[in-house]
Amino acid sequence: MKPLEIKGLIIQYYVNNQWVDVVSNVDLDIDERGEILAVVGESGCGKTTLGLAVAGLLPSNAKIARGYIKVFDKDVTSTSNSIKIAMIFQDALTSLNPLLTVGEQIAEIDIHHFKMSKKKAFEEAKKRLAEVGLPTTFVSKYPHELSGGQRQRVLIAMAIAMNPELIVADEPTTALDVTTQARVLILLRDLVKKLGIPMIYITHDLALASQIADKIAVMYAGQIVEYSNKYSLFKEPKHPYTQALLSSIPRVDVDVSELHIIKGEPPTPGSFPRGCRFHPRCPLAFSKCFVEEPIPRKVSSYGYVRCHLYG
Amino acid sequence: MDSRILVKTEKLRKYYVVRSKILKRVIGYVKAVDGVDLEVKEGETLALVGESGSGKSTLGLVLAKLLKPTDGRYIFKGLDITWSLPKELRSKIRIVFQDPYSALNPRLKVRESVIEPLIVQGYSGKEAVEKAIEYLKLVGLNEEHLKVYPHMLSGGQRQRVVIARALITEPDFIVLDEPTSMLDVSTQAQILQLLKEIKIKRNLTYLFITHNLAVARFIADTIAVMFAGQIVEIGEKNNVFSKPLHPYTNSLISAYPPPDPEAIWKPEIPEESSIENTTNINGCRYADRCPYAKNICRREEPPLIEVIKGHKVKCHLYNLI
Ligand SMILES: Nc1ncnc2c1ncn2[C@@H]1O[C@H](COP(=O)(O)OP(=O)(O)OP(=O)(O)O)[C@@H](O)[C@H]1O
Ligand SMILES: Nc1ncnc2c1ncn2[C@@H]1O[C@H](COP(=O)(O)OP(=O)(O)O)[C@@H](O)[C@H]1O
Ligand code: SF4
Ligand SMILES: [Mg+2]
Ligand SMILES: [Mg+2]
Repeated sequence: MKPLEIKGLIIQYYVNNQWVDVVSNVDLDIDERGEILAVVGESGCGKTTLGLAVAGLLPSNAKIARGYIKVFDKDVTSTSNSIKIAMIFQDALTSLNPLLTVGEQIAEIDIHHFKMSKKKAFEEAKKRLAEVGLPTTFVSKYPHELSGGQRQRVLIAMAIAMNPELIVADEPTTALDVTTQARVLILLRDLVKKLGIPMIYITHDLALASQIADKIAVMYAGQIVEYSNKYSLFKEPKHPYTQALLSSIPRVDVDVSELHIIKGEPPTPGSFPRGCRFHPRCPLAFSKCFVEEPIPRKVSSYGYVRCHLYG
Repeated sequence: MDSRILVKTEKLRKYYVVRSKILKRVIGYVKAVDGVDLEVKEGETLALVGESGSGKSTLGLVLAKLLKPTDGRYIFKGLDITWSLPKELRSKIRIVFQDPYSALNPRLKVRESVIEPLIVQGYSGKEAVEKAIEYLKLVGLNEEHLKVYPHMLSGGQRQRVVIARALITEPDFIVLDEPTSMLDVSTQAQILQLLKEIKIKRNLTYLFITHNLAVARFIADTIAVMFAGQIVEIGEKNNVFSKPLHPYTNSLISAYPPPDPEAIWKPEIPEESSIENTTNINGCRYADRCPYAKNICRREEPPLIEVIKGHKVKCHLYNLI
């Protein structure tokens, strides 16, 4: 039983009186508990939409048009299955209730999900806070009294309190300073590993993904263009987009005097190019790329790439 | 004074007044910029890095002449412009902000936005438009873009328009406040590369504000690290990155994940803190967070010491670290 299995997933939004594809034919999986799958891509490529679908939180103008998402063999879209999936969002302030103390919000989960007594739930809440590196006295603090990093830790504590079968974290640290981001991320990574919770980690930052994840899926224009374990992805990126992306990020560890430029900009839903969706920006595009959409091809013992250069 | 120094500040300060909610009495100050001595050479890119709230934007606004300092001196091209800016220098200092969405008036076409600084200078409409086309081309856009409204452009295109508008007055000095932090990876690379090329073509001098050290390492010649309103380290970029002298710089650099799964990421980061609880300290402002702090650090403010030529640090214990 895989913690996560996504097959042939198509998600559409209803905009301007029609359904448009935002996520197209996505196949992804998580093989074991505690495994972290990073979904990496630029803004608008469909990462959040994919994450919301997995967490069962798609907005009302969205639908899953085809394919399925299974968590431990249970279909997420079927209402008869109750699956506990925790989602951690970027904006901690809006994810927390400003009128309740931190303790009340964490305890609420135990009271609601596990029918715990109020008193016991508060004791548990203190333990959770300690687990995410916060003083237990924080139970009586309100969200606005906390720094961005502390709020994000509270969200992590709440996610874990649910005892979830899967965590979806959508750019949980982009609003934080780098030093705070580093601390929060390492905490999250080490906690899910320790507790054996599978996690989807959504980010636009390949460098972060390289440190957090086990596997990386590179997303472009609604599709996964390359999917691999992180070591081979960085050592031998196969897809021209992955290759270009890797050489277009400035680095802190080595001096780079020139950045690789990917010409143009990513396309938006409703106007994805024919053929390979990356072809207008691809330096290696050839005639086939203009007319035929590449299908995912297995290239190593693990993962796949969506590009005509590979078959 | 060295004629190649374009921008120089001495003990520059900017304090924001904090007033009580009801009676509006002065109850304190935020020392956003607190005694900054800087020199930026002609043609140099100085990257100003530091965490949120450290005072980077405030210093940028003061240097762009959009905010009056509380005290200190600001010398531009050898002239003291602390309290007033001669008319002929107004076009020579420009600023580009982080958010290209709010930097452009949504009701104005690109044409109006870009030519506006020239019209202020008394150019005729025709001359101004000709020049606008030249500058749009310089930033990788074209004549067609004159006719469109900002909402019809992508984030990257908008930032190009904003840059064209800043360049059109032929400035010598541009303050860039996080110009790429709202852009995507691929767009960021385009804009950074563009800024680097234009700088050389037009012999510009940049103050580049960013909280992203990787971006700073790419764009800058010199790195200045700001903490709680002060410059705590400044030096040639490769010196700063390969041998950071201040514990704060070291923690910032170590916080960045290397884009390489084989590399080990081991951030050395002390406890969280914020500018507010460091304002009353007599000694080093970093002492509360610093893992190396000794008594002297809490007692005495360290001076900015030049350790090797051009590489300065504000730390008592830099040679022990
Ligand atoms: N107009 C203002 N009135 C009062 N305080 C202000 C004002 N603008 C900024 N501050 C305060 O001054 C300090 C420095 O702020 P500044 O915006 O210069 O920081 P920054 O380094 O640019 O931060 P960021 O990385 O978040 O952009 C902060 O404590 C901030 O809250
Ligand atoms: N509720 C919505 N209704 C219609 N379109 C949406 C909605 N949410 C997102 N989109 C569009 O779907 C695309 C993918 O968005 P998103 O999943 O948020 O991408 P990412 O998280 O990768 O930035 C974008 O073009 C976005 O504008
Ligand atoms: S399929 Fe063709 S256009 Fe698409 S990435 Fe591969 S080579 Fe480039
Ligand atoms: Mg998103
Ligand atoms: Mg700022």
